[in-house]
Amino acid sequence: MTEFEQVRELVKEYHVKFIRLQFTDILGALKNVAVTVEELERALAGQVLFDSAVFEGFRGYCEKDILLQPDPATFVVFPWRPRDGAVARLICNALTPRGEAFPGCSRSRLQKVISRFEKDGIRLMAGAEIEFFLFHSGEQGRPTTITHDQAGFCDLTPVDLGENARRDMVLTLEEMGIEVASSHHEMAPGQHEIGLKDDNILVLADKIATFKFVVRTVAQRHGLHASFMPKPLNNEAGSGLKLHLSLWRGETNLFESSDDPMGLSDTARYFIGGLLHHAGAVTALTCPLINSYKRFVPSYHSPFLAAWSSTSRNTMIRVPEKQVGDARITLRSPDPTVNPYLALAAILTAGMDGITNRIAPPPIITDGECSSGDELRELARERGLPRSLAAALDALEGDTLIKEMLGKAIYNRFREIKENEWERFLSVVHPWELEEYLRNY
Amino acid sequence: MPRQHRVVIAINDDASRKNIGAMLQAAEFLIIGEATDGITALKLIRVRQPDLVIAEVFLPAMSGLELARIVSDDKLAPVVLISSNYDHATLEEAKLAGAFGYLVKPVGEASLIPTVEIALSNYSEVVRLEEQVKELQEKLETRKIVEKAKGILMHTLGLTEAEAFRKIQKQSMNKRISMRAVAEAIILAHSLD
Repeated sequence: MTEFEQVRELVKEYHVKFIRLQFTDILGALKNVAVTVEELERALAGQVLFDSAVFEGFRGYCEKDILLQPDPATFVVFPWRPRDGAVARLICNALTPRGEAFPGCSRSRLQKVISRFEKDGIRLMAGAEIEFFLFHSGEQGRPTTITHDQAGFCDLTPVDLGENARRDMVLTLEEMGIEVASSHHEMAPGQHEIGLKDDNILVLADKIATFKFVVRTVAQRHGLHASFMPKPLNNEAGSGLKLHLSLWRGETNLFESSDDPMGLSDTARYFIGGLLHHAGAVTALTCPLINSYKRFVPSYHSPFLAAWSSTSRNTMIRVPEKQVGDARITLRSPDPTVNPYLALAAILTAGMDGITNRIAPPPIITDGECSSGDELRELARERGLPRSLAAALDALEGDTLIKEMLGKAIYNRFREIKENEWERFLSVVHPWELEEYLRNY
Repeated sequence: MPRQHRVVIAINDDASRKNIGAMLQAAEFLIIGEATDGITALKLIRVRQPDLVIAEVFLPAMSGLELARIVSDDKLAPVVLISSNYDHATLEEAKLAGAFGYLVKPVGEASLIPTVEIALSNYSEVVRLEEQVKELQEKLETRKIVEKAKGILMHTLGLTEAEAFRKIQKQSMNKRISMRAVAEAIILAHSLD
């Protein structure tokens, strides 16, 4: 049975009435067009026509027609069941009317990067740990920054609204075929973390996109607002998206070496070298908001250094002191507002560049190297990640490899949107400035 | 004394909320939560797990219809809606949302109490039937799987139908796992050949 036939069978079996054709725009937002089941054949044949402006983040000039080509492997029936027939989804690539990949489609970009290395049998696997806050929705339905487990409301009862919601999220994700590796309450009040099991990076990117949508939907059904904002509260930890990476050829983990005291191969070291070499440009894609950079203010556990370590919590890459089981490295700098397709494409491109050009990483940072505030600042100056969105965009501008990977269409539009965001931020006088400067100057 | 039914009331206007609460209390219901908007009501229902929800159609933040849809999708409790009108569109939406009753204001004791009682009894009947359907579906599925596994055993080991059944049954008892699990293992093993 072909994948298309399986989709048809499942549509019948679950009495699906509506199919949502989903795709991710350049900024990483999941969009969708619903079609009725009668239009399934037209949809499967990739004949649903759409407007390119939606992919590019806003409506503007030069709108073009694009076609949505569903990937049948992504078919899932949504577990919340309305009485009047089920709803399913298919994740789509965008094609031009001539059947070529649409240059603004980030999923096609990732597939292109993957297939470049797949020819040599190499594939990147990744698992993710995603943090987010659950806030109360106000009486008017607007989100607040009041966290569920501090609000007086829950004092009434031992049943925790947030824990309930998170359990529901995990169950929903599993019903949708997304395997959850872990789930727990995080450091800050109201902060939660859910871990997704390792998968090939295209599947993981699809899962991350779906994950955010599921978490938001379930939270809303519990009267809560789920926020993936990297740093929503001044004095609490921010939310990150940790990625556990391992590189494979067939059944062989290329990061593993039994000869090495850390259990880490030269390939792994070069991959780390490549990631650190391209750290600035990669950061523009893994930390795409102005707010993202508030996670990188030097402090005890913010991952602000373009460096690697097995003990320090300040480096963007963490490797276990001794690999146990499958060797993997952990990228700690990304946050959950990423476009997962572009971020993973950049990570694979940077890491593979390290391997191809044998870029040795700088010496590993060992414990005690950064303890006091002054030392942290010193290190941040020497080898810190970009301190602002503007600095990250500059780094991306100067990185030909990552720019070429994105392609002109995505790069230009991404830069345009992000520069505009930065300018809008600068054109507002923020309360902190008034408090700090008004009296003294 | 029979267990008191626990109720959450979500009505925006204070006077009618208190009024309905008083009528229910007089009829031996226990009011465990009151809300003036849909979101607070949803949170209360999630946390307090009432036996019955009474909600006004027009509520700020989240409408009573949306609230009823979520509460009935997630099988939390039966919802009785209250509204000042009963136009066709709202009634249709109330049906789709899975409401168990619909009252038009002004609500008097004579309509409130019977509606609520009937909603409670219909709801427990629906819950019972849903469980039964699930059970039957599972039995049917198990039978299909065991049939298939029997077929495989008859074909590969040359057994009669009764012998194949006994083999599965015996294995199930020896290993202390369900016949369905044994059958699934047989099918899986067969598909690997």
